[in-house]
Amino acid sequence: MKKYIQMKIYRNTIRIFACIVLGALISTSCTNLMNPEADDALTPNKVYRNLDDAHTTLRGVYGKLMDCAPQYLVLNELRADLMDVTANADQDLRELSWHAQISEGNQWANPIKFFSLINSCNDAAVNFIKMNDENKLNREDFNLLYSEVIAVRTWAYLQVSLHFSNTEKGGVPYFTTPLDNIETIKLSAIENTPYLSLEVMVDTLLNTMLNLPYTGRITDESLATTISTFNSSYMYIDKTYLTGELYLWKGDYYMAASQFKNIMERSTTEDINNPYDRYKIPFDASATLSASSSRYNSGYSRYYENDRFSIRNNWPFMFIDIETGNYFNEWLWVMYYDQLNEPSPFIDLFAKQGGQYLLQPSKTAIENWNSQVQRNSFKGDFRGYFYKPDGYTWRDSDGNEYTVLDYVNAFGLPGSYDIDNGDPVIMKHIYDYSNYNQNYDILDKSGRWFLWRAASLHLRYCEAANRDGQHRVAYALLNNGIRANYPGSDPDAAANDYTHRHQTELPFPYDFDARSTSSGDIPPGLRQPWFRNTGLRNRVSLTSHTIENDSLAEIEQHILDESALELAFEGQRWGDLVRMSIRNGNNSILADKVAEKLNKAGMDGNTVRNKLNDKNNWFLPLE
Amino acid sequence: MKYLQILITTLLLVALGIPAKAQQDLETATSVTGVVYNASTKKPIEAASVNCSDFSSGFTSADGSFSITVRTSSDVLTISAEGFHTQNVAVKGQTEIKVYLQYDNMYSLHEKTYNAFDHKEKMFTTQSIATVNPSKHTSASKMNIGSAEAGFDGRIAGLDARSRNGIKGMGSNLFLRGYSSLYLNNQPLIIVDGMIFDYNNYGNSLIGGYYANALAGINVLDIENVTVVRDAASIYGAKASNGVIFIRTSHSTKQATSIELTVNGNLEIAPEPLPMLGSEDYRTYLNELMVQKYGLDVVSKMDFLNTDNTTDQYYTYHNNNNWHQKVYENNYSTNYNIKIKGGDDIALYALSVGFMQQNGTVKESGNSRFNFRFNSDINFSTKVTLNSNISFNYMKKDIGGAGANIYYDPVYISRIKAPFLLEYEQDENGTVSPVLSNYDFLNLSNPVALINNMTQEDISYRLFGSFNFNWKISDKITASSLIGLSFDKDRQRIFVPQLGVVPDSVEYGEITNQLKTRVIRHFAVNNDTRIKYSNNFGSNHRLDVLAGARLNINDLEEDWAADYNSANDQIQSLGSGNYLLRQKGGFIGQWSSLSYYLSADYAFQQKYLLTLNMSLDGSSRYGDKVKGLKLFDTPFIFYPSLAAAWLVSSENFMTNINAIDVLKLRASYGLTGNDDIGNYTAHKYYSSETFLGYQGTVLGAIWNPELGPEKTTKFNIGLDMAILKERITISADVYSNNTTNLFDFLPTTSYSGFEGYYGNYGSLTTKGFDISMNNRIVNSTSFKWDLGLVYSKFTTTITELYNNSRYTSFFGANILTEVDSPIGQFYGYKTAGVYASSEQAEQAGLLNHMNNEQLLPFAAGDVIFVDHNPDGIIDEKDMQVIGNPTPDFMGEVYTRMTLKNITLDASLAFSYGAEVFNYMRYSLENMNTTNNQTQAVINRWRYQGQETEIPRAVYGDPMGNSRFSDRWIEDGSYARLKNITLSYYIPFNTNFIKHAELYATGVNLFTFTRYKGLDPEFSIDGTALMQGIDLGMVPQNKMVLLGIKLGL
Repeated sequence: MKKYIQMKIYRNTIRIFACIVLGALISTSCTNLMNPEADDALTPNKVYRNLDDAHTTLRGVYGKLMDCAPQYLVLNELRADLMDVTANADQDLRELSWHAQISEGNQWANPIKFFSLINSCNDAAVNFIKMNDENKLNREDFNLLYSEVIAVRTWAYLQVSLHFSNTEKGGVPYFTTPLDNIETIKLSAIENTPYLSLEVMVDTLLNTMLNLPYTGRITDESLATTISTFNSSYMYIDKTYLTGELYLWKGDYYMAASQFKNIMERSTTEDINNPYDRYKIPFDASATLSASSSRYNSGYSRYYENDRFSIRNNWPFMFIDIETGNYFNEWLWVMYYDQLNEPSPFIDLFAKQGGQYLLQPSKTAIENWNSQVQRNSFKGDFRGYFYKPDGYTWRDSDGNEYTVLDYVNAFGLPGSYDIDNGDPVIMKHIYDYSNYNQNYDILDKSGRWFLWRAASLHLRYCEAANRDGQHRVAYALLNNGIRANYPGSDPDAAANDYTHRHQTELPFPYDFDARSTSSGDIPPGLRQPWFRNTGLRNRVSLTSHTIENDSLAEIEQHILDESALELAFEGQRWGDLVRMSIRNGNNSILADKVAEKLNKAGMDGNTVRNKLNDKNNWFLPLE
Repeated sequence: MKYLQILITTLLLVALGIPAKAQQDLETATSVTGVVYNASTKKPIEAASVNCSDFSSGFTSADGSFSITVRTSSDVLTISAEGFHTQNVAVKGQTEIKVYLQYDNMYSLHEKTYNAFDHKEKMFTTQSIATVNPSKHTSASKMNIGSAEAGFDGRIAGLDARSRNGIKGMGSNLFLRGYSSLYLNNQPLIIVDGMIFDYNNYGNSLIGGYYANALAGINVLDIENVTVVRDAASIYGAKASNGVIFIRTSHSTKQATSIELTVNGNLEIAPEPLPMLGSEDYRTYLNELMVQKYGLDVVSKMDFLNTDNTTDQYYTYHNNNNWHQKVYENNYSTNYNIKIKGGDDIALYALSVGFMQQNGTVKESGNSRFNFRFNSDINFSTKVTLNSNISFNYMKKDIGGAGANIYYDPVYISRIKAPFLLEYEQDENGTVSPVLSNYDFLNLSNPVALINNMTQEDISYRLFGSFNFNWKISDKITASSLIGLSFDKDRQRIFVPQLGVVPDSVEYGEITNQLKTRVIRHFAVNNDTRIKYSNNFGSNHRLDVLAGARLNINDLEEDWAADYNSANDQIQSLGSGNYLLRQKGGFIGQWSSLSYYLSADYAFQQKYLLTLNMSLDGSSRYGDKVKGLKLFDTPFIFYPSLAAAWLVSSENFMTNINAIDVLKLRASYGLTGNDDIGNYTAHKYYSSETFLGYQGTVLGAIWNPELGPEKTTKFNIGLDMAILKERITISADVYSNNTTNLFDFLPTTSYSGFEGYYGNYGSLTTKGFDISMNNRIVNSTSFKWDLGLVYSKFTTTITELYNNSRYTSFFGANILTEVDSPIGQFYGYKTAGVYASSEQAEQAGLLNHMNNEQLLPFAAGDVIFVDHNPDGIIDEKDMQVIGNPTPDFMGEVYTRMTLKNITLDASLAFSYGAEVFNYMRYSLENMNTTNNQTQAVINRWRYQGQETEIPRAVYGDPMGNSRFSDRWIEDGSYARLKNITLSYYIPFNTNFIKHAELYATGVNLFTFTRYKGLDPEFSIDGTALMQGIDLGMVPQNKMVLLGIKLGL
């Protein structure tokens, strides 16, 4: 400190003499003095100088992305049918849930955080181009970084377009340069910006994605590194997934399926199981009680399938595990909040202990789960909240009896929500901040924001495949897996001839091979990538659907319903409803769902139904 | 370049425009005779010097008469004598002149006014200038206030020094002629010995209610002169929009050594307790609220209602405690100061060393200061001289409690804590143990535990010093350069114990004890280099030109850390708390400004006076596209001002109007600015954004390169007058200050991702009047009686504002800012009593707009809110202006009576017409919590038909009876006897002691007010919108002081 002051005095003294003494009018020292280098804020000449700066900018962009998390969930879930407000919620949240008139100052209905992200992306993109032109970034680094920020911006624009629209201009303004000074925020400048409707926006965004110079994931070691014990590579956006999603919105199903299939086939060689497990929705190969090898299958102990007390609910572990093998095979995109840097914003929204408990599952969501039928014909769904026996007696193989009070260890976990003193509490994003976390600490408000995973990937793929005429493929992945649905039907083949069995025998992107043979089979000792695929419903021990008439319509309905069961509260719902409604030209798909939620909550859903039957009312007003 | 052209042209005009006629003096020379008298005794003065510029000089003879040759019949004589004010007398064609000299301890227009490096007699100033010489004009006892403004507070019309609160050393917020800004600093620039004295309260104090008051570092006894420029001091450009105060510390003028020792001690008298509810009234009240909160079943089993004295807890809840006495006490302060002056013909020096120990009325609170000052004037040669001013001060404050609304503030807690509880544990027999009791069942801390074990300490020091070199190039030209630095550090340490203190919930969990530290460091380098040219062109013309450049470089850094939950209260070092709760922060700021300035005074026959001031002012804070002259890649803004004065009394036609000694008319017009816009606000910058363990960078704000200073145009007309041989002097001014380019946060499109940006938009006008008057009512040899008055009034009106109207909330108050309205008005509900009965409530039929959008009818016992917007619903639309915190007028009356060696000084400050939001009363009478309330709530509505002004008590106050309304607005008018001093001067003729002065002073002994708060004088901070909100901080206390001043 002392040295620093001395240095300062010395430097300043020199400057003063250079600057002032008897009227030296022009001197560089004076210029420096009058334009001080800020130590507190970065002046433009201190950013975008080299690759490190560019990486820092990218981290800034992702920091902004994380700021959008609570609003992302609230907009996508609370406006749809699966999430509802609690008595603690304020007027602002209620307005969203009830599709009521938005009052001034409702921050949940203000897109500013998304535009802040977009603005940061634009600033980064514009400057990355400049850096590349000035040889401060080489082509390879540029391609990677530029593509990354444009992809994030694309994601943000899709979100904004889903929820907002300027009534007069009929859409969302599409800025590709930053709004960073008073000239750029002038009304005239903004009015000259094109406003894009959702459909046009999807086209524009898709074109942007297709023109990116790099479509892979970030593998650069300085970015995709371990930060505070978290593998940050899963925090970066998956451009292939986003492109697939945009194809799906656009209605180009073959291309959509292709993108998703490419992700399904990703695997690493570091683990022998990896090719069979990664993004494949695998079955529980060990069939033990161990959660760690369960591959997030939920069901009952072997040979006790009809015993209510032999539940092993491992599906929710995907929200608790951190960086296990299972975890990486499920998750595509997860954001980490840790106590020391930025606590999880979800605790406030969802938690009863330590939070404000503002949001809860809707009755619709709860009834969806409760009405499911399991393979043992029990009713209910492990992904909701199955049930909680009040302590019971467990008898081990030697006949010793134990009274089990802590059902958690015996049965696994509650599901997407828990019951706390009679109140349903949404758990997905706050498992880390609950008793189900072994390291739970009331002070430690770490947490995660879960975005994309294998299940959402499969549901998207099914949606595309079904629309592309591949109903059986879609049915198989949705229900009980490839193997069960492609038994093979060559009557001349020998019993142990699997040449044409357990596989779709279709061209890409519908090619699935689920064969697994033993040494005596033909061909022998085969383990094909999809042999463990178990299907989304089968993974949680639910019965498969039966298709009665129109495969296309029925399976699409099943996909929409399954998405509600599997992905509830993960921020997918509003988009699903909007996409299905637009595709079918039937606004009541969305309107009915929302109306049903409100009616079940004792509100006037019918008025809202009428309102939402007009597509223009799906969008929140944009200035 | 336009500005440069104007500048150069003006310079040339001033320099060349002066008629070159000069050497005619001898032709018109005439002789003047006269007599010089002592105005008090009417006796002639012998050996007074009589000069006519540098043309001729002489002395009076024993009968006071003189004869002197003057250049023209419109010349001016300068008459001076030891112990008297020097007088300038216009000959006005007379050949015989009588001159009456006044003692120099009297207010006079012949006094010197000082600016940064120069002085001028007040008679010849063109601007609105007031001056005070603390050693002559105020009593020595003021040193015990402990902050420099005590030396001039109440003596300068237009300057309102509002005490922040009564915490020792906390000082005052200074407002000179009202407000010039909505959101920026409104305090005048202070120049101490030629250098900018930065007294901004930088950073964020960790101690609630604490204000870093740098002025407390200046000992009042060291101040020789204070001169205030109230109108446009344009040579200070963008730092002068609130006027300039020049403080000159004492220098030695004589070579003889003089030593002055001042010692005093005072009794600090604790304030009167508030009329809070006693034990039984409170128990009734508490029961009422608890039943509402928890239901009768639960509450009836609670210990505080237990009347069976055989049970364990009975005695714990049956005491009659006076918490006020546990927190406040009478205390003693002492003050020592020694001043040594002297020197030889090479060097003169003035050394001052002081130590002050103030103990506050809050137990364990205090303020101690060590101050050191060494000023010297050195003649290296006849041409080269040096003035050095070095000062150092060290202050340590213990804030025992501030009265701020914080759960660990003992003063605040002592007001609201249940009076039936004790600060010590009691056993089942009622025996009191020495163990401090823990926080109580109502979640309130133990104030005594806080007083005993909490630390809130602030240690600061400042080194403020400069060297000013002067090189006399010729008789007419002097070049000077001042180089100086100001270095200060302010360190806070806070420890809030666990014992007896209620734990607090923060975002990350529960905190038990707290350990916090903050350091803020400010380093400023100043340089002021200038050339002065002075010349008389014959007897008619005089020109003084000062041109220079002023550089100010600043470096500011704050670092703070907070740690919580250390193992026990003995471990108080940072780093020993829970790492999850640990917090830290800080900032670094740098800014510089450079001004080229020119000040030219031209006088014709010393009766037509013209002053041109201007500066080209550049700052690192300005945006690149601010309009101005570009130098060093920065815009330099031109601030001109022009002032003119006419000494009417020097005109020949005034010769026969003997009653008027001096009459001067003045007018000035000029531009100043305010550059308190933030260091990087106008620059494009990136800020950091957390991404897990990394910090990323993102755009920091919308860049507004046009962001520049606020600009204030000041127009002033005034007069200075002395009549009846200067028995009465009057200075009066009317002014109009117009600020444009207000610094404001302007909302913008959300497409930018930002809420808004900082820009210059809006304007406000302050119009006002100030007058100061000094009368010597009795002027006999043995008895003298002076009576003085300063009086000022102003109104500040918003004239332009983005979106025309807005309100801002602080402490529950809404402050309205609206075009064509006065600044800072309170905006809330009007009330008309309380519904006495259900019928009355039903009849009124008003509905309350609840927080959850419901409409509920008001019931009996609710406050009758006025349905201003008559729709039957009480909601925001019914808010209206309910008060204006700006006083109608304010000032001070002061008097001094001297009978031989006995002097009585007194000053009475007054302020009339301010309306005050009594937040403290609001928090003690809102009846929506279980906190103890004032005795006013005894009259709360309790039964049908009860006529009362106090509504019913409802836990949580769902109907908003305590909302911001005229119930909490009070008349803040007051008159306060700030100071009364009786002193006795004893001359000694010994070698050891030359003289002694004994004095006794009472400070703030009487306050006449209807205001119900603790103290009608308070000020949260120096911004315009926060005035008139009384948080109920520790009030200024009464003081009785005894002291002695010895001349050795």
